[in-house]
Amino acid sequence: MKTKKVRYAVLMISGVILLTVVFFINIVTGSVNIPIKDVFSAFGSSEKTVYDSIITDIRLPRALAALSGGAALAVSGILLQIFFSNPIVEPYVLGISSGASLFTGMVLLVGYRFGLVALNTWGMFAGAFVGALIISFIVVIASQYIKNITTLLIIGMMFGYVCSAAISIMTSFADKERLASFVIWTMGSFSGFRWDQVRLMYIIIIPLLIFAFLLSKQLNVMLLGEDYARSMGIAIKPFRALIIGVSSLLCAAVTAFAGPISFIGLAVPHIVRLMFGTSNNRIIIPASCMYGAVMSGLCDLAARILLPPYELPLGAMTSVIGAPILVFLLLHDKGRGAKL
Amino acid sequence: MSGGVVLKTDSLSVGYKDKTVLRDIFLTVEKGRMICLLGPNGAGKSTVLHTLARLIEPIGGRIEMEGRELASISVGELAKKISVVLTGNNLPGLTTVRELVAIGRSPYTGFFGRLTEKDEELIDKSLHSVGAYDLRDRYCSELSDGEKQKIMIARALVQQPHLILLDEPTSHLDVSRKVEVMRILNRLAAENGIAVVMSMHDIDLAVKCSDYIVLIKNGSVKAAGTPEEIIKPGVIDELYDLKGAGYDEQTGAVELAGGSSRDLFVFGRAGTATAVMRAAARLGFGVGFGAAESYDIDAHTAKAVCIDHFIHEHGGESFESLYEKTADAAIGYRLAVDSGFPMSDGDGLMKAVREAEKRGLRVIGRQEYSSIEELIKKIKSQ
Repeated sequence: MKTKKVRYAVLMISGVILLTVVFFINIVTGSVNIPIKDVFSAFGSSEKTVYDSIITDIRLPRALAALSGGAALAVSGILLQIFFSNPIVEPYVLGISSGASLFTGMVLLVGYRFGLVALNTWGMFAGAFVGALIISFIVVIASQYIKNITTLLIIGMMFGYVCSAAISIMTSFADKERLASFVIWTMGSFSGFRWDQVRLMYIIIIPLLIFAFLLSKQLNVMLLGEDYARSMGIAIKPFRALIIGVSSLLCAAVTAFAGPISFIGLAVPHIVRLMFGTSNNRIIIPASCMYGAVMSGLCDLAARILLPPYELPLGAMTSVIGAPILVFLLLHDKGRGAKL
Repeated sequence: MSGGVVLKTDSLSVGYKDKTVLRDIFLTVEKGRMICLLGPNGAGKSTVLHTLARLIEPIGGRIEMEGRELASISVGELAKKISVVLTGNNLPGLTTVRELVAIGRSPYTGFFGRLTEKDEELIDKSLHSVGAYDLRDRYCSELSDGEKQKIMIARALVQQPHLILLDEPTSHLDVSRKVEVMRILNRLAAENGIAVVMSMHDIDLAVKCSDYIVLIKNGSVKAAGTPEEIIKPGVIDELYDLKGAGYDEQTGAVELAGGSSRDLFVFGRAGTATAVMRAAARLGFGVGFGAAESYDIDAHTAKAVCIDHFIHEHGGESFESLYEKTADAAIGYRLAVDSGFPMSDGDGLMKAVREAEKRGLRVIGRQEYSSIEELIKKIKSQ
């Protein structure tokens, strides 16, 4: 018991330190490297430097978006893994991210054609949420009839493909000037985040993360499956709706502005469970927030600085960094099983 | 609580959506009683348990929990009255035994699920009572099936239920684990006054460990009562459609019946013939037996296994005529074997053996084989 608590504390503190470090690295590194003292002067100090606008207009919103996005996707992954009592689901795998992308794409492209020149931040989010919810509900309804999780995953993937196809069809009609940025967006990217988008992300994500944490007792009971959860006093139907609602909102808040991002929702919860050696959600949810933010921040950094001046797709980074870590942890798990 | 009745069903029908699996269930579960649902696979035992736990809604009839309609009790309140142990222990990974058992306290803990000292004590106590305290810091995924079953019972126990429902608690366990689990349940019922309702496959254990048995088959309750009232000759054979096998109600043994051609007659008594009869029946030989007292273990085996059996009932016909009949029947067989039964001077059964030999029956003597294996070889070669 004691050693376990020490382990939790050490890993939590390391998480906070890592998060802070990653945040600052994200701000100082890039095509222009900024001395750390100038970072501080950008906030509040009266004497303005040349770096001010790089920091406040570009890097800070981007870093903040990347960090919150990672946390949101990780928690969304945890919720879905518990919902389906399956360790290999996440918003991307189930096609929920693709659904969100499709609807955001529709808002972006169709809206533009009908003269919506100024992109409405709320509109994008609403589109993403509707898309995420529609696919979630389809997958949930399918899961009532199909108990075989593999079949369910295939259904999710198929919806993902259909959404992707629809998106690529839409790109044919897209305005040429906007096409490039739209294509980058469909591959997942935190670039070009505006402050109003960041603000909306935080307004949605922070309360939901806290809310998910408050559900950790019920989520722990759900680890044993629905029948047991019900026998221990959980009202299953509203709780299921709640889990799907929260995970869809979290996924939508990220996807609306950063596009579909794979792997974080899958890898981070596993990595955190194995690191902490527990499935207790009271530990796993806050820890996944931190480490999800760290991983997403690192991936975004890598996407920016690996092959300058090119910006690499974020999805490629999350997979390249996340997959080996996951495989390593699974192999060194000593048969304890990474299943939920 | 009315007179110690924990749960009562009235004309209950259970099933799924449009399919009624089982109807007209009248069941009264009293405090501290062990009730066992017995029946073949697919009879609906599990559906009954799920309905009683309110995991599925009943199709018709009433269920009362401590005098109140089950449906009127909130899930939160019900969790403090009924706990379940279901089949398929797919336990969460990276969860220690203690963490898992602690989840069972969730109906009592506050919003964050923080455990009080009393909760911790109860968790330790229930781990002790299933004999799994030493496993408390192990991960659930490292446990054997028997250990998993025990900690799931411990988890059910920390819910401080008045009733525990268990679906096939002993399946997939070896004999000693089965007995251990049943002992734990017996003790919980006897000492803690918890009512236990479970479904089972093991006829034998069910008969020995439960206070009340409900036989279920073909969509209805065939019989219900104490084991003594229920388990009568032929009941189990019929319940499970035992073909090519027989169940002995008194010894609790399932015996494979032999073939129908008269192949081997076994002379024996006092338990000497049982192994030979079982071996022969297993190989598909038609077997005959003579002669023993009705309380002899050989008599029990013979009744389940043999085509002809000669058994002396107290107050029935005389031994002399029984031995005579034995010899008469034996010569109708292709081969006979002397199982090496104990005898006295001028033994009647030995006389019957000699008589049969005289009349042309080949009897393999006890000195001709040293093991059942050897005997089987001999029988096959002749």
